Amino acid sequence: MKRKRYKRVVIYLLLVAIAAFAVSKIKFQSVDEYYNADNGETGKTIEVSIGIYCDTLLTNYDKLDKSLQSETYVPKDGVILKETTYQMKEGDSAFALLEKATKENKIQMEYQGADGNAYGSVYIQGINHLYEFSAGSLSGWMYTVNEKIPDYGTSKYTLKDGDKVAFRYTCDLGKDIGRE
Amino acid sequence: MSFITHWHPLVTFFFYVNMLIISMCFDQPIIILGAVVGSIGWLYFLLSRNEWVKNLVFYLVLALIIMVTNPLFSHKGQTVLFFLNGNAVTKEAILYGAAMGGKMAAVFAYSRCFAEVFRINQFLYLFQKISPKLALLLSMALGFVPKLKRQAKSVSDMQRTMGMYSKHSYMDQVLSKIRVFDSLITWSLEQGVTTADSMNARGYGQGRRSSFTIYRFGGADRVRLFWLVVIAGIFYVGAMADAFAFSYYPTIMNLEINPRQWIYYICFVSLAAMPICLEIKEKMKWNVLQSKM
Repeated sequence: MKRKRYKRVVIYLLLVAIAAFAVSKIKFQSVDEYYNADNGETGKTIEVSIGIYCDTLLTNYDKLDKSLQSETYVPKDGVILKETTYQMKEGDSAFALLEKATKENKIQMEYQGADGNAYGSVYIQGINHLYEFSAGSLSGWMYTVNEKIPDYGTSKYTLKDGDKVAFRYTCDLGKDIGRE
Repeated sequence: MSFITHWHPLVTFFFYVNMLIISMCFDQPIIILGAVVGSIGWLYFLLSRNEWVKNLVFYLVLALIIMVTNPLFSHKGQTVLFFLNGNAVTKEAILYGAAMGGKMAAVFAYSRCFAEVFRINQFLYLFQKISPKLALLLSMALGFVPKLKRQAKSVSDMQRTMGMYSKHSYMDQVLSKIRVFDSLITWSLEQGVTTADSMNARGYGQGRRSSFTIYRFGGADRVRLFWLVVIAGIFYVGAMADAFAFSYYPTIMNLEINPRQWIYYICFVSLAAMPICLEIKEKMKWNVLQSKM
């Protein structure tokens, strides 16, 4: 009997340890805490700019989901975030810039992590409640750097000093934002 | 005994398929609520009180689990409550999860209802016209599940009388479960072989066979099917006209019903409430008949 009790104690301790470990991995943040979080930057900085646009939706407004046809999601001029300059660390990716910009301006953004797909890069699913496929099966978010579309994911693009990054919503697989 | 056992299998099946489609395909909270109340209310008349409560608890837990897990995977929605590991947990995602949970519960409950009222020979009768082999196979496979359960219980009861389960050792319990499982596999294989032999001996596969069924598509069934088709038809016309369109993301739509669309909702409510009303009517009839005796 005594051995049994000892065994049970060990099992309960293990369970408690696992639960404690799981709880320690969970991080709760209120809305304000999340948007005001400080990244604590040091090291060499570069100056880059970012803008977020959905102007292609203005011409394809009827294709957009009915629940999104509102000025809160598609601003009248198609500009969700006008060109803004940021100080980033050297070696930061375009995704880090987007994350910082959306956090600072309290713009909703959802992405699929780099381990979630076959390309090994972060995939932007939605910005400002405008998601992939929200305006037809060819729609989604793409980005340009200095007016050109890099053909790889945002987290794989390393920023250089003076880069102008623009995230654009496309309704036609990028053809309407200057892709051949 | 349920009212629906007097119905022709085709009518019963038509009703079941409609209720399944309705409870699966619409996001409208009113529809989901109606389907949940309708199915669980009907189940109340079909099961014993104890079993009904057990089912209810199961559906509640299921819906709760879906409601809690949905916001962990879906971060859409405008009203952010808090951030969990850097991901937004939104009010919309939680409510959408609750709606999905309700849908799931309604589908489960309706299936349970029809499992109670739909006899295996009714099932065979319906499908033997399309494919007799498939119908036979399906009915055998479905009938095997409760058989297996019964056998598992009898094996484990037997082992208990032999003193094979000790209460304190986990290892012993696991080993006993494995032993039961092992014997079940042998038993089911043997069952398969004996069934096949028995069917052979009775001349299965020797040529065309006729079958006897007791179901006749009578005048009352014609009336029932007619009304069901009409009511369901009006409902689907409403669905085509987007009367039940609803969206949860990015903000939850306002719940307002266009006065011209009341007719569609009335059709839905009469479909969902019909089994409960007929069940109550049947019960009252039974009571009246008993009081006369």
